[in-house]
Amino acid sequence: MYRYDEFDAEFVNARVAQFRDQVERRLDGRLSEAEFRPLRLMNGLYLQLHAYMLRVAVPYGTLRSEQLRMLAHLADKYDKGYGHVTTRQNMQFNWPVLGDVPDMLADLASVEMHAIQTSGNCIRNVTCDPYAGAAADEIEDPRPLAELLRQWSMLHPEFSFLPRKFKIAVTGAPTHDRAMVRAHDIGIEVVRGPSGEVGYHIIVGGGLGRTPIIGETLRAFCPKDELLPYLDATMRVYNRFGRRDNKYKARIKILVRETGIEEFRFLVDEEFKALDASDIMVSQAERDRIAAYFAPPEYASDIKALDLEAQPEAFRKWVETNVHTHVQPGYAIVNISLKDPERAPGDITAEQMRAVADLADKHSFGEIRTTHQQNMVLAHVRQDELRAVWDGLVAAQLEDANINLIGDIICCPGMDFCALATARSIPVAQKIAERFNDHARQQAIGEMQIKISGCINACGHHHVGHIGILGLEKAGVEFYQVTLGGDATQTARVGDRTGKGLSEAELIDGIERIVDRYMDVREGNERFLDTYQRLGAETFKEALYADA
Amino acid sequence: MPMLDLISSTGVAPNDVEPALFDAAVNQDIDALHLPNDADLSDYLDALPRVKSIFVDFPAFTDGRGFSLARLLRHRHGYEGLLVADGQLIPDQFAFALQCGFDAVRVKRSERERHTAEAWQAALDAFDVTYQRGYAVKAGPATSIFDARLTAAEANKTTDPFSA
Ligand code: SF4
Repeated sequence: MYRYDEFDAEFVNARVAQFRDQVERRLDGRLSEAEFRPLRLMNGLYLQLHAYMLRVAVPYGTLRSEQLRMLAHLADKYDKGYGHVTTRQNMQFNWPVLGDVPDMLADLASVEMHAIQTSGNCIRNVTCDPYAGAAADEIEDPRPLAELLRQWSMLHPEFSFLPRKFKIAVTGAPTHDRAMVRAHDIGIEVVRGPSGEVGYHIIVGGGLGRTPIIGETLRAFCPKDELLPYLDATMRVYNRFGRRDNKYKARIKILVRETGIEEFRFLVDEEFKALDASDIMVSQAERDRIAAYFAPPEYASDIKALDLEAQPEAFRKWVETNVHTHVQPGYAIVNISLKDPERAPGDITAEQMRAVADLADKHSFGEIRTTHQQNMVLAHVRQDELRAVWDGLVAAQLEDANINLIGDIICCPGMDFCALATARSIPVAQKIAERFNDHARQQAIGEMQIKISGCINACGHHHVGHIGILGLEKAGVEFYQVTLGGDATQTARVGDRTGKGLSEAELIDGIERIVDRYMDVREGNERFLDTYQRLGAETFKEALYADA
Repeated sequence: MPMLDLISSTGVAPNDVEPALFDAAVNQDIDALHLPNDADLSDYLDALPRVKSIFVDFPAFTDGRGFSLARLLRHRHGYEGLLVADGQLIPDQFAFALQCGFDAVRVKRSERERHTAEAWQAALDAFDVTYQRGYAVKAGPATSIFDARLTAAEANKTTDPFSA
């Protein structure tokens, strides 16, 4: 994992001091609330329904164990004993007091962490494939790229007051996109060029929100050393021409759509040709320096085969759903589900964070990942230690075996926390999880992604859920709109709207009828998504509204 | 017209220049040009050598277009005259402005005073380093971290037999 050098450390410490000063100036009135707002947002501090919320950056979803322990400490000391993993792999605390925030940031800085650019109209924390460096299907580990982007985008003098927020995601596995690169302002895939050299496929203009759009290719192959200058050119075109008259039309996706991808590409290319690339690009030596931090760990070769037959059934089920193939023989990728039906999706207590940190130290080279599906990952576990990991997870009540199943629901905070919400989302997720609580049933249904947003801003990614749920409100009554057939992967697709909204009770029953219909009509090993694509929407719509 | 102050890294000076809108038909020297932040720079290029100072409009501090214009004027079009960020800026943007190529910001005196002299000064001292190579200002608010790393790496490669 990346370690700060003296310069990174100096930078983050300076940032803490700067924010302390900004808070003081806000408190003594030199900064108005209007002036303070974008500044605090750029430091991850939101004002929510009941309190401030601090969003801590987990760059490309990678944490060292001592960093996770620090998050546990923050949860205990400044919050109510838990944190929340977001759909952008960050960790949110819902109850800090403004005056404490500079101390929280100082605590974070002591373990090389910060909250820089987790919100605001700037380049946000870069997200990444959670299996990076461990997946068998990747061309190259995308984390060195993500770290370079983190550094390049940090307090960018030119691009810190953009028309709107700007989200970048990267993946090294273009055949199995686990980072939703087509649903980001810019998505980057590691690809091979014409003569086999490794470079980047740059996708632009994707995004969810009110106007869901799947990103398009901006540049099919960008050589590595040209990446930063090319991104500078793209950002400059956006900063100059992105709409600022209407906040709902200010994302780059609208600029790309209104300009047309051809013309947009032309503008970027003109800019790119005219700028002095040597001024922006970073040397090979520097890229190598960063990449060295992400070298594969020292794998053992004396690993004993795991005799699953001799193991308890619950463990076997967990292995089947939560454990993923690793690139290194004898190793496995372990997914830790944060989808206990009793809790909000993505919530984790301080105690559980410490338990996961301990397991990482013992069994996964002291490293933890967070995922956009609001779970965690231990990326490099010996197969003969899987049982020990599971025992540890059972003790911490983190053994839910539901990864990628119907219980693994993505959900935004909704009405329970978010000031923008039009409906509750967490209770809906909990009711669905409860309805399908039976593990055998979940397993039989197979891969199924339900995603829930509490308003049209779509933080819960409902547009790309196999089943998407959007909470709305009319005359004080909450109702839910369902979309079907969305896809967040390399075959990304926006789901189809089914029809009129449903009450919460109708919704849960309707979802169950959709699932039952699918079970009736599926062929072979088809996933719900495959069956949906084969048969179309009608039969599922009919099931959804059968009662209405 | 409210009282205006020009703030640069060397200090504060009153400045009540009224920059003029561009008139392509008039072929003479321009002392102070008002540049809207949605300007198409190609309209101005012929005139640039005749311009002594440019005041780029910042209608709201959250509107960052002016930063890109400064960068373009300096780096692509080689403009070397005085470049001023003019309007609603706050101290926390002062260093960014200089890094993008501005010489100074100009704000209402009342605004400058409300933020206090210390805040404007502290804004320049907040960071000694920056990650953006081309935006480092050698004498100003920040050196490039990437370049500093290179220098440190070179220094480590010393052939001095006494440094182990
Ligand atoms: S989707 Fe809406 S309710 Fe949910 S977190 Fe985003 S803004 Fe809040």
